[in-house]
Amino acid sequence: MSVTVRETINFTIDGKPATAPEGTIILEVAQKYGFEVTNLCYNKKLKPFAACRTCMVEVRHNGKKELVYSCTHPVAEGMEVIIHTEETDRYNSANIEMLLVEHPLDCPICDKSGVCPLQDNTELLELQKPRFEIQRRNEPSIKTNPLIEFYLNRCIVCGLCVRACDEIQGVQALDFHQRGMKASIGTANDEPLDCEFCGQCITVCPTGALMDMSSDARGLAALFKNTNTTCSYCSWGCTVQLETKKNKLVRITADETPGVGINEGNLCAKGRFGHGIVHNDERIQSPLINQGGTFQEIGWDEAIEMIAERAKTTINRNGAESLAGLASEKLTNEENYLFQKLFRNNYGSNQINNLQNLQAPYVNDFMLNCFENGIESKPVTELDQADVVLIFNSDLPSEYPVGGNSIRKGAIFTGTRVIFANPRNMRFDHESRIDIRLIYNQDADFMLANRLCRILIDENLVDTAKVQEQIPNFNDLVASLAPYTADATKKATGLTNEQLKRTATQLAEKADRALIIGNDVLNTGKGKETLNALLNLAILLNAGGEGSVSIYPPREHCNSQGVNDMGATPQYLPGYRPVNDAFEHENLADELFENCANGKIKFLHIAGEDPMTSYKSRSIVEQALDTVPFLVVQDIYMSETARKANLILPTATFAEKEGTVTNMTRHVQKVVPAIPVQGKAKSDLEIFHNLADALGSPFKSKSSSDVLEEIRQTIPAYKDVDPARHEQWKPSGVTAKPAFQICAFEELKASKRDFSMKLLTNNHMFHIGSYTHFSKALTDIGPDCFAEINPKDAKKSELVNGDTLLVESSQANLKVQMKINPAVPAGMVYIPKNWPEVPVNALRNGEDGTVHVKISKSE
Amino acid sequence: MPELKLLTKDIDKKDLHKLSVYEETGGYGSLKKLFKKKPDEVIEMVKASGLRGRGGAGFPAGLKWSFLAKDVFPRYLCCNADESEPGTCKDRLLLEKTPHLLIEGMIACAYACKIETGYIYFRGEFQHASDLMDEALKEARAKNYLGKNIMGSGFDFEIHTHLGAGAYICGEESALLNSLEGRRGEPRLKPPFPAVEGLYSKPTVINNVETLCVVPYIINEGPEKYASYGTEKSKGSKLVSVSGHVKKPGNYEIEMGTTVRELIYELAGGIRNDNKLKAYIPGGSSTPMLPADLVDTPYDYESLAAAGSMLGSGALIVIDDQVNIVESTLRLASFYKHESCGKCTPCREGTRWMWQLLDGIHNGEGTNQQVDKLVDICDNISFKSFCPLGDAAVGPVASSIKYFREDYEALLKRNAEGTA
Repeated sequence: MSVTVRETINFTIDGKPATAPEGTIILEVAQKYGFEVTNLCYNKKLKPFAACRTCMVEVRHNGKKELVYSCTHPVAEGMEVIIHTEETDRYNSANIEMLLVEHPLDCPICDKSGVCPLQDNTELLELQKPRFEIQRRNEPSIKTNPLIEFYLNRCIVCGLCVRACDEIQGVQALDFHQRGMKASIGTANDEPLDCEFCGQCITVCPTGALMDMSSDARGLAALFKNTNTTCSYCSWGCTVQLETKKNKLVRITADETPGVGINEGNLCAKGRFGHGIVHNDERIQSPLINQGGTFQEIGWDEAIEMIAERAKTTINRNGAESLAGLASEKLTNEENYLFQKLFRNNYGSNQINNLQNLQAPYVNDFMLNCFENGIESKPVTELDQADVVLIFNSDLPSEYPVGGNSIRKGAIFTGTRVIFANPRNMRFDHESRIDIRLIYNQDADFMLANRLCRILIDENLVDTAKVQEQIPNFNDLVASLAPYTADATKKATGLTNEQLKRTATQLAEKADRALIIGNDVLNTGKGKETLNALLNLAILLNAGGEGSVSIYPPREHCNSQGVNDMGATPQYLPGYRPVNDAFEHENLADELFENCANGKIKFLHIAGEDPMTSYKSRSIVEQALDTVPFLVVQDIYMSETARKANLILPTATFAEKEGTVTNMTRHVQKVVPAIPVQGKAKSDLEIFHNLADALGSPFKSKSSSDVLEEIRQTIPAYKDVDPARHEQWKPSGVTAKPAFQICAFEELKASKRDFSMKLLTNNHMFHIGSYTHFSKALTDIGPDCFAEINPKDAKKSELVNGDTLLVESSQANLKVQMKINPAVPAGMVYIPKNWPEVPVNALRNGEDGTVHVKISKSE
Repeated sequence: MPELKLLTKDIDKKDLHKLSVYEETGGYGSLKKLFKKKPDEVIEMVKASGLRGRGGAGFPAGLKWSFLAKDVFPRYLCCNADESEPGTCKDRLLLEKTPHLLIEGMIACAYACKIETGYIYFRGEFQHASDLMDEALKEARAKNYLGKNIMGSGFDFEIHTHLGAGAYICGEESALLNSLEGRRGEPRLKPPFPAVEGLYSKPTVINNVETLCVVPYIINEGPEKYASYGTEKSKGSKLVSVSGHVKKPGNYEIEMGTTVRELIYELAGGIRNDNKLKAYIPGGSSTPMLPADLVDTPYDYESLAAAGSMLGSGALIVIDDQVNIVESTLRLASFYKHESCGKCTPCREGTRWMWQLLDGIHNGEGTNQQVDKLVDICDNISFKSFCPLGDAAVGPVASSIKYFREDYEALLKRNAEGTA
């Protein structure tokens, strides 16, 4: 909650007493109290527009009667609100009546039929006989982009799409055209829509004027079966509504009803249009066995038996610790829990890990350190009420698009001040009155964060006496910050001390602050140092300032948090209980791929991951997979990793499974099956059960909900979490250990002369992980991989848009199309990752941190 | 009945738009007095003069200036030169004949309100006026009437011109701001009012050309002198554009309170062919028309409001008895249908239906029910539309039915007979 306190106003609605914070509009309160008020252009997420004029109510205040529009009129002390009177109904009806005159009324084939506010309001006002002559419009549909159809005959010019595009998404791809009766919506100069394809416009459109072309389903949406589940892509954890018809997933929509999910009905391109991965002929159809390089179909029983046998013989021959598993940031908590249990209990091996923990094992410790220092994160549903948001090295529109939506809403309704720190000057448009942009040199993240700490102390922006009282090693922090002088920081980051002082001042004001940390921080080679510096910053603000600080660790995929919570790591058992309490073990999974490559691991089971394309270094994965004597891969699609397997098991997509996932802000949310498991595939949960059965010691907890119950009993923090309520798990039994995390100063490494450019790679706006490339809708809008470079570098190497770039590292080289983007700083090459044709992770040469490359024009 | 020429005293002087000629008439003389006063004193003077906004709403100018959000900078001054109200051409006269007077007025306003940047938003068709203004601004800059440290006063002020793209709605102050910012010209939600959050979300004064042109007179002659003219609540002079069926149409500067009869029969020379007066629209097309028997109404804010209309932008449209009122109303309805910005339902849809029904009645397809439907639509728009454009569209239609229903009935009767 914001630190601004608003007075409570008392008034009545239709005679019933009601209260609301001052400034609240009548419509919002009326809906909250369960009254139906007609309206067409109001949306709680948007600024009032007051254009449809169908929400008139009567108010009596100070002895005066007034007819007002409830979407803009604020409540006042002692006010009486009367929702329906003969007068208000007459005036509200008149407007709907006029809208219906032009409307096509082709309801049976309309996407919004049955969920249409125009229908609902017509019904609410009992409007039946039109007084005006019907004058239908009959303009052709506009289908000039791959995903969103404009059928403007149905448009009622409420402007919701235009405003959603601007206020929620910050894109402004849509606006009104013409005026008067010709007013309609469209793109600039009627050019094909070219935007972030979030589809927010489709969600807010009340009439089916904008339609989702990724689906053929048309008509009576109210009759489709709706299943609310959690999106399987990024870790923001949006609730998506799967619309199914005859056991087929036809479309993904968003439910804006309050309390349904943490995302208020906002989605991104991936979440809304990325359902092409479900019904797809390219899915693995059956268990496959690798016979001399070709894959042959085999039966499930045979496959499971084979794995169990192989496991047993490997344990006998090489010991249990030679069996290793790679759990998945995309599997459910229940599946990951059983997977680690399979290894620990059935095999007796602690060699289980996940890709995030492999690359950045310090993230879990960072989170635990936050807890020990009392830095708790507020539910992300309150992000729009934060007073200050620091977006640290995250290109939000690509990384957490819906997080960006919440921050923009905060900027409008809470006056959130936004601080955007990133090496790339990325677009993040919003209505914040204060937008500090810190565009700093790549990899200088830790310098920036530490300098901010030092300014807070040096300038007495926080109460250092109070900090000293609460945090024992304050003096160590002060000493460790000595190297972060204004000059050294300027040299490393390119930022002036004035900019940083302004930032620190903003942060230090009495405020509720949220700190969103992007996954790019983990690729800087100083991820741990950066996270620690940000933690120190949070501790300083928390202990020495007023308000609150929320901080969220970087997590990439839908269950990157949960897979770690479930103990699919060699360091921690479920619930972050340290392993050494319970196990005596060789530590092989810390260096999982290295230990496959050097022959220590003899059996590798990969569940739902494609490290060949997803892991930071391709070469070590390739060596590992080529060396390990037995490799099982279970996945939905034939990935690069699967191609190297001895045995492949086909699994189910998120739309077919049950369970829970935990998002980056620790909300534990449901995954609900909307359709049966397709073809011969099995859910990962079932596969783990089959394996345990085959090994002769079946799991006690059978169904997904049984497993969740077991998790609740095992992990205290999960004990009371109700996934149906989108609750966060809260740290439990944490002993407060306030301490700054001290890191030694180390100067940034300069680029090597031969490889003078730095590579940045992360998820593309329309693609994440290894599945989205199988979704036609997403490849339609994001078909090609482009490297991006600064105009200066383009000029230096005589490159122009559309050229093919040769990118070389000391390890490998690749060719990729390029475009010039001034948002990319000079000296950086940006290439999206996980692109099947452009294996950018092959460029890494074994060393940690940023990859150094050189570029030239490919002939 | 002579005119009261406070603004237009030298309007016919050759080349008055040139700085040298303007200075000969005492132009920019108010600045020396201005800079001797404190900004707040200037606001008090304007308040004391009783000057009210000449754009249409008649809001007290000094009060408007004093509403600016305190201590928020930068602030802006926008001169509304989007004179688009049918019948109104008085701002054009000032802009083309005496652009320096407006600059002088804007400097005074900016000084009083601590504003450093001003904009003049011209109606899209005012290319000539805009060109003249650009010349005038150049001259004023060269003489340091604009720019840094104006006449050594320590006060900085600059004016920019902007041509609209031909939309009536941009005369509405918040739509004007949208348009000036490069957005679609459509009205904004109020509150916040421009004085708090206007151009680029900063405190903004928006005044009509004529309003700003009065200010130098007030500085020069004192507010008491200005307030000595006019009626109790409508002070000073008013430029009135008289058009329609008069012998001498044109702009006349009159003392507030002069009767409409004097305006029509003395200044404008009477009705064409000495026909009888049927009706007049007193303040531009959006103000309700009044019948001939109200011709003795004094031309000031209060008297016209009491008569059921408004002073508006000061455009008297005279209609003689040779006209069927349905025809003139149809013409006006067609204008509003064309100019509705399309943002809100009642105005967008309502103006179309009004036009369509009127057109039907006019073309011989009308029925009595349609006249009732027209009345109903007027009620549905009036004070229900988002901005005053809808109310403006209702003005002529509702008043024509109120005063001249017999004209409608005559057409309906003729139609009924025709079809029989």
